[in-house]
Amino acid sequence: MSLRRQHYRILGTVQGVGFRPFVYRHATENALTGNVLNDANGVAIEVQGTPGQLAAFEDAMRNQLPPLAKVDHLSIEEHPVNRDEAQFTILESSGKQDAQVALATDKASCDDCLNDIRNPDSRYFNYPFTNCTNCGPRYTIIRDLPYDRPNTAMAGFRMCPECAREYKDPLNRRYHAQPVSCPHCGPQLSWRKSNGQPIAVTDPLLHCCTQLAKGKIIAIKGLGGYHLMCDATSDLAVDTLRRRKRRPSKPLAVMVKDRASAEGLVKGTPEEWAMLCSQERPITLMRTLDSGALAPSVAPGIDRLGLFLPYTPIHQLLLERLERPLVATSANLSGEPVITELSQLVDKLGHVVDGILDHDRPILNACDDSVVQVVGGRPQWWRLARGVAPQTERLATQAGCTTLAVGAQQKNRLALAFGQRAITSPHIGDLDNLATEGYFEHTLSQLQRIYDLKVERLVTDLHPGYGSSQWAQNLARRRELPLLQVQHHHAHILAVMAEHQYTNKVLGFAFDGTGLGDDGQMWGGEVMLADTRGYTRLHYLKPFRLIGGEQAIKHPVRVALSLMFQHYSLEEVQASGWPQKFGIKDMALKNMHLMWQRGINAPYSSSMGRLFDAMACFLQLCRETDFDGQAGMLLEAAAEQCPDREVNLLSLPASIGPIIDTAPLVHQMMTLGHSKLDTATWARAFVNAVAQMMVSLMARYPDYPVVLSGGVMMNRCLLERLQATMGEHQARWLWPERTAVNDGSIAQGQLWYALNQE
Amino acid sequence: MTATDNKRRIQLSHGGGGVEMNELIRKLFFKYFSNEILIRDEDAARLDLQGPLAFTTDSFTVSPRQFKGGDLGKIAVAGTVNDLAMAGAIPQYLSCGFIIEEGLTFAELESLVKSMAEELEKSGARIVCGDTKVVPKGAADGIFINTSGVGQCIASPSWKQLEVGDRILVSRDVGRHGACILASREGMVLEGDLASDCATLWDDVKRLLDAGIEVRAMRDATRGGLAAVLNEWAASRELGIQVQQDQVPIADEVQGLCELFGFEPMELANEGTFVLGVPADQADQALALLRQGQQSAAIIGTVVEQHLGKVVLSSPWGSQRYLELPKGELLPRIC
Ligand SMILES: [Fe+3]
Ligand SMILES: [Mg+2]
Ligand SMILES: [Zn+2]
Ligand SMILES: [Zn+2]
Repeated sequence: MSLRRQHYRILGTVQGVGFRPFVYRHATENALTGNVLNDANGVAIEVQGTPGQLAAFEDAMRNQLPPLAKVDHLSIEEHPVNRDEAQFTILESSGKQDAQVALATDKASCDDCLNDIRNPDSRYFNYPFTNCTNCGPRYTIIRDLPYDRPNTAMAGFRMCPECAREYKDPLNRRYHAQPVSCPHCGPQLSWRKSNGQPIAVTDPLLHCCTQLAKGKIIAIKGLGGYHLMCDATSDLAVDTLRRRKRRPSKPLAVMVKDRASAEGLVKGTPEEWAMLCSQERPITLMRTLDSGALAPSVAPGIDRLGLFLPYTPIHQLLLERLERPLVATSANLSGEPVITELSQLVDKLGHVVDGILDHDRPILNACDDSVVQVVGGRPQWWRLARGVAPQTERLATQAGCTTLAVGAQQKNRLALAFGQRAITSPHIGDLDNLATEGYFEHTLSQLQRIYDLKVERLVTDLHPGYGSSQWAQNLARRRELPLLQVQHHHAHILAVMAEHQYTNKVLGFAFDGTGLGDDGQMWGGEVMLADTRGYTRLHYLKPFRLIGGEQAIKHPVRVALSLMFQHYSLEEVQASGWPQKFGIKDMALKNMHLMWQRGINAPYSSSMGRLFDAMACFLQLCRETDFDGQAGMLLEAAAEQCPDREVNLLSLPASIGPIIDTAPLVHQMMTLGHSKLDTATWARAFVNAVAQMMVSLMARYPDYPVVLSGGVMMNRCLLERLQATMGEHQARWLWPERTAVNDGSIAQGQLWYALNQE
Repeated sequence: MTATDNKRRIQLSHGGGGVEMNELIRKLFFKYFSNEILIRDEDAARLDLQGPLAFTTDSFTVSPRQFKGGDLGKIAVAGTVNDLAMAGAIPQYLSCGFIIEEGLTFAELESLVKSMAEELEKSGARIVCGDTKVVPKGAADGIFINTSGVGQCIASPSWKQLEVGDRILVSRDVGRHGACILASREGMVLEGDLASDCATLWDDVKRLLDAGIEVRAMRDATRGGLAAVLNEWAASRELGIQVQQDQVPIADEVQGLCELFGFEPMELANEGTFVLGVPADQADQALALLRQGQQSAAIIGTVVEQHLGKVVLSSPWGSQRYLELPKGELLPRIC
């Protein structure tokens, strides 16, 4: 029988996911000789055997991959036969050359591992740190590539002989699972007082459960950082957490043991349940049941709950013993990144917690929980982090030079392109404090070290004041690097195009908060004809003043007033009764009118997000916002209460000219006055008016794919209305499945722009 | 001046060097600024000065010219006197140049001159020479005043002497002048009593120096406010300055106005507020001395090794952000 020898080169998520044992198993099953090797580029395989054996092997490579593996590229070359070879071997990793391998993300415990911790006969019984090649930590414990134990947070833990045996056995599920450990040789849980002092308890996990059951607030070290946890059924516990953390109303996420427990709290579609139970374990926004099981303070005024399932054995053991839902919110100071170190936790949140469930496996890369909602069966990501990021994409063509896109000011992420790869970091946060800026730099230097990168080109937002823009400007100046700028809303649209590898013209709706436009005004209600070279601003919301700049974003009543000033005299506004309803004193009203009239710190904005804010004020849903997107969420919750889905009482006409006029809307609010408004009906009517305007604009530009992006598009009520009324236009909708809909996508848009300028 | 003079307005001829001008000088300037050097009326003032001297000049314009807590005249004197004081110099001799737009009323001119004279008394500085020009209508906005000043140095504060560990103090609550001018320029109606801080600082400086406080650095926080001074120091000295946000004194009226406008009080101009750096062991004493002048004086921060060239603001709950150099336009960064 004639022998042939083939050389495979495989790129993608192929390290730390059980790829080599998978190769080994199939090679030996098919009686092939040769070897397999991890290097910084991915996996290289040499196999030798008969054409039939080789074909069977290739079929496995293509169709039977291990659960966490993802192949981006596979090439096969014919090599000369080596007649002396007698067996198949796994070779030691070679050093790194030109790193192209994809960084694997953290995955929830697999069923096999969960069985191990529940099995009294297993040596992993009740062990909170077990994992295998099909599950467990990855990105959060990586210091460098290749993904080998000395390059991870496990470097300091010496394997015991039993663990070492499993680690070296290619047929074992823990073969080369880098964090392999057991109660004898691995990380340990410990219990600490809120000041960080350790207290000896026989079973820290059990002790933690007792404390939680008593209504205490506990910091628990997990995968990408600490959580603050407390009993989600206790109003007292949740209120205490809110008070101590000074977080009055922002919804809190809840962790439950399993799907069955979740079914007691929320209802969902099959797609939502699948998302909730996926191995990525994102916080999934689902519709709350009026079960009364949870404390009302968990998500006040909002009919949705951010729910997630345990994703480490620690959480699994905790929830199984406690048998009740837990609030689980990232341990951080408001606006700062999630805390990963004990000293920081004690410094910053010592006064918030009653105790700490700690462990001694370092967290090398902080990573927050991911957040997703499912609309019409499709995922829409609000935050891409643990489980799904860093995101690695293979580029169709080689990037001309190493390019860094630094993203927006808020919900910042950064994106890098090099060789034939694009990598987007996990969610970093709002760059308005030193801690987040430090996390931005840490994330960048980690990625640069892992891939041996030197940035050669920068891309930023047009806004010179963004923390990211300033940082990039400094670097560009210091190192004389070329720097590109991309308009914010163009970047929103480009990000969706990038996911679809699309470069030609699209009809983009960027309905957003506020981003700087190319005319110096703040944009955010833009309809653009955009491609990777540029855009035409086809339509936009009639600009109105933001009285007091950012103050108007925190206090949406200022936007409501501004809209009224635009169409009515001060006297008419006074007489309408609205300012009184808003709690605005006469003196403040006059002063704001002066600011509006003279344009003192009152920049113009065409932001759709701000119009939503103003409508939430008119509908008396809020006067000031306590967290980002609050007004929109409250408006959405109100609209959901309206039984008539079709209600058609308001109009936001899609005019022939570029300006989408808000006058009819404002006139209607003024005419109706505050007493005759039924909140739910008008909230629904407003959402329907926006959808109607969008659909009629789509009909006017039938030749282009449609992209919908920006924070306003997080409004599920609006999206569902669009899905219901878009008709034929639905077919050309480019939906972002893996790209954040908010500013978490800006870096990817910026990068796509730069890559297409070459 | 007579009652009819009050209705009169400055004519071009008042700057022409003739009889009218002479009358203006004698009846107005000599009357209020009177001192033996000035009335000698020679081509140049002859001064008797020894040792290291400080010399400074500034031109003043403010709109509106009259505001709560002061006027253009008061600023024109206090500004230059304060510049000397900040250099550790006794404010001794000032020059004064007026550029007057044709049509300014005598009454307003007199009231400005009078308030200059009153302000001079606070430090004992004297105007020893001057100049007046009248320009045609439209060539200036009412009146501009230039003052220069010279005085003997008795200390030599400089940002170059700031060291890690030094404490940073402000002499009183910040942002008043900027807030007051903004409110009156735009015709804002305000609750409470918002007056400019406009004042001569020599008394406070003298008190510190007389008590032997080793003032490392000192600067009046005029344009750009506290933020500009601290950033300038941090950048020039290449050290960090850490400021405790809740320690920075801000009057309720100023805070309220800033919330209305969306401005940062630490970026607003002051005309009688200074920032100083002193060794840590003298901070409490310096504070006590400052509080003899203004109760709102406070220790607000520390010079640190980290954050080179930057000013870091720590919130009461422990998060930190940079206090940036004031920028012209404020564009929202919130999406
Ligand atoms: Fe945005
Ligand atoms: Mg000066
Ligand atoms: Zn597993
Ligand atoms: Zn072991």
